[in-house]
Amino acid sequence: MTDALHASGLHRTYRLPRRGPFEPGPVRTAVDGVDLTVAAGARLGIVGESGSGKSTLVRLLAGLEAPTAGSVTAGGRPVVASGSAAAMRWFRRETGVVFQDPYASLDPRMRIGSIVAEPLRALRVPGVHADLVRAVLERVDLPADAADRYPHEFSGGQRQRIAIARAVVHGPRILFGDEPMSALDVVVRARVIELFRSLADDLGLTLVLVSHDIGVVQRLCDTVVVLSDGRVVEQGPVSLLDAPQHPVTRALVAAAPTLP
Amino acid sequence: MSGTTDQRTARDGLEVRGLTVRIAGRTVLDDVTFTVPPGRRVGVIGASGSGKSMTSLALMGLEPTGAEVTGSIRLDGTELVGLRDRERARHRGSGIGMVFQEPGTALDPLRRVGAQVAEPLRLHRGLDRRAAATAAVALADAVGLPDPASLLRQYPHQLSGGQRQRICIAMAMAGSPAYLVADEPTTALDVTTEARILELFERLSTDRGTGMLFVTHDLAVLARIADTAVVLDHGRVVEQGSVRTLLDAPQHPATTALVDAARATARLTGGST
Amino acid sequence: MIRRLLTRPTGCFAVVVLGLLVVLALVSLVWTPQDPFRADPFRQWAPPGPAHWFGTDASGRDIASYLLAGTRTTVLVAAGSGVVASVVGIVLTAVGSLTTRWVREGTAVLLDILVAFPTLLTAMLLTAVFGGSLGIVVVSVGLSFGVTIARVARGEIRRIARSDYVVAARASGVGPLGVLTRHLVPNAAPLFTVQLSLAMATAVLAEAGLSYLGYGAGSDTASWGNLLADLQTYIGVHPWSATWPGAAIALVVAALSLLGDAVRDATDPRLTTGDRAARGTAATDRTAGTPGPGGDRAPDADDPATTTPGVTA
Repeated sequence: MTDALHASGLHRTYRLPRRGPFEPGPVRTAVDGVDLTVAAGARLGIVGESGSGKSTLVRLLAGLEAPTAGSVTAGGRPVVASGSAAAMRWFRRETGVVFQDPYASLDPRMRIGSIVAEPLRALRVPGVHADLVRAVLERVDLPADAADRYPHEFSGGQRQRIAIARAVVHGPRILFGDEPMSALDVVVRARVIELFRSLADDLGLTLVLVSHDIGVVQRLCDTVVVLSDGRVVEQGPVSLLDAPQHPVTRALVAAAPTLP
Repeated sequence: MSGTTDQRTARDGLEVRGLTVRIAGRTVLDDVTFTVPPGRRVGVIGASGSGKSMTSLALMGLEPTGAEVTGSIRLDGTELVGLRDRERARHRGSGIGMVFQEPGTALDPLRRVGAQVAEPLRLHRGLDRRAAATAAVALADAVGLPDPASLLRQYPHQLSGGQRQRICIAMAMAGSPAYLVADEPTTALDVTTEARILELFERLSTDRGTGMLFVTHDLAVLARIADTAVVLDHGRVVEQGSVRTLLDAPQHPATTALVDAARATARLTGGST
Repeated sequence: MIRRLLTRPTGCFAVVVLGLLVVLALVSLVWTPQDPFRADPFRQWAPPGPAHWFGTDASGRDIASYLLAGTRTTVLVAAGSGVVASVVGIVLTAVGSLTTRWVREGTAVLLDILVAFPTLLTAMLLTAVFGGSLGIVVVSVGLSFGVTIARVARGEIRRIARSDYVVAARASGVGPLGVLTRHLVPNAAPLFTVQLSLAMATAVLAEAGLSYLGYGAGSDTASWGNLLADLQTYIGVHPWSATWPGAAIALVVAALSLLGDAVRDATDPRLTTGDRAARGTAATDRTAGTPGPGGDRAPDADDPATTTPGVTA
């Protein structure tokens, strides 16, 4: 079975603003040599502290940023983030991304219907777009008239549902999430976790989820990768979080809130 | 003035009675009553829109213009509701301090953090610039910042989220307030930093006898930091008591919803689903 | 949209005044109460009356007719500089945002230099070279403001381009042209609109100022600036006469300035739909409480420290 995603030797460095007129800016390494394989249908959680490179890693995997070195392939085909929109169309068709901030990921000047239909337009998906949009909005438990309204009329949790709807409306096979629950309050978070799970089950999605929240990862993922300073320090089935080996993993698990 | 050691023994606590806040005809808080005993940590918990943030703003007298506030807020015996802003301001920082949710936006990006910590020190303790600078270093150390002298020379954007929140806590504690209000202080931080900041709050309240009020939507956070909590739903207090009791035997549906949500998102211990 | 404009006091004022201006300009093409240029030495300083609604000036010219004729000039100046500013602004913004790195950086530096030239100075310079005319006023104001618009819009576009919703659009497969037309332009439009209306308001003022200094349109063109310049020399003797062109200029400038704000507000979905609670948050692009550890985001190593004024008040 072909792997859904394969990353090899991923590096991503940034040049920070220069400190003086003659010295080049310092280089910051966000991802430092990561090899990763995600099987089709797998649910992968990427965890790590703030600054560990997990957000950058998921953006590299989702083809939103180009690696400084290394490569990403999806189903054997290379993913070239700097490629033209037309060249990347095959990949965009197969993938959907949900971002962290529900207040920033929806264009405030567009109606919900247009926002959710955007992948359908851009990817020239056949079918009646209005119907597809209506169906997906219903699937994420939003009222029928939502398509005519604007983002500011919805709460954070509802906006995140809209973002999820947009991410799956075109029938992708892989769903990426960059801390999609972090900006939601706990009651809403519980519901969105449920939504992710049911969507992934119903649509047979491969899930790649970045989270700093161990609880979310334990509930949604079957494999986990732990990042620290841009490197993978531990990986394996999600059960490893019950008995973490590496000190970074231990610290993360210990810090995660539990209820007495 | 409140906060001196003599008066600490005779403190009544931060007493809120029948606090009602109306904005543009809408009742945001309705007859809210609870007390933060001196030196104890109390939580205010509720879902989004329950009015919990308005509670913290009302305590500080920072509610939006046009809001009508009725009821009573007593700070160790002094009534705060109805005071003019100038008189109210005298209690801010020295009687009651506040820590906000977003350390990134709570700090002035154009000033070094040392100057920002020194400002309330000069204001409340009347220190001159040099003395304030020294006191700022001591305060930065007290909130657990490493290498305080050189860290204070940096700008907010050069610090991590956790460090910035420590700076905000230092600023809030600068006036040695008897009470501290923290509005979702760890929501914007990652989980390991959150744990450490909660420890800091705990240490500060124990060492300095500062009463604390934590506003949050997360029972798991509350369980770690507060002994008792008040549950808000649509602006009303629907339940209050020890956190333990709220978790084990919630009475009101709003509380049950919060407990269920917390259980549905908390870390699973011992064997996965 | 006109309806929405009219419901707000500022919008109403702006639309009414400017509508009146345009109507009067059209009327003046076919009719004025008297010949605006006919000097009648026996009728100097006539008080307002049925024959001369606003009275006459030192040469006996009918002020009302002159004012009416002047509406044409005002409309031409405002509209002309608006067009020039738009074209210059759009071209420079495009060059400053959509090209390769070095061209972008070079444009940024160029814009910073050009912005430093005061409008009136530019006008005087061009007048000295090409002679005074309405065209010079239009071109100089248009150029100055076009450059300001570009500088401001460029920063705004870069800010928008970094938003999550633009990244989301790319993730959905939208190409650069789609991102530009569907996201960048609509979200940068409010800022552009406000700056444009300020440009037009400044143009009217600049025309008045330049005429006063003798640099603007020649005295054979009826312009409010010319009239004001003439009448204010007599302000000690006939103080009321100068109020007519003065008030006209003030009204139109105010209307133009407010028009931009009103249009921006009328087209912002956050202010035109939804309940009142949402309106309070429209003033900032984000509502309070957008938490989440953001430590992993890429620093924008490309970004010179451009300050951008806020999009809304």
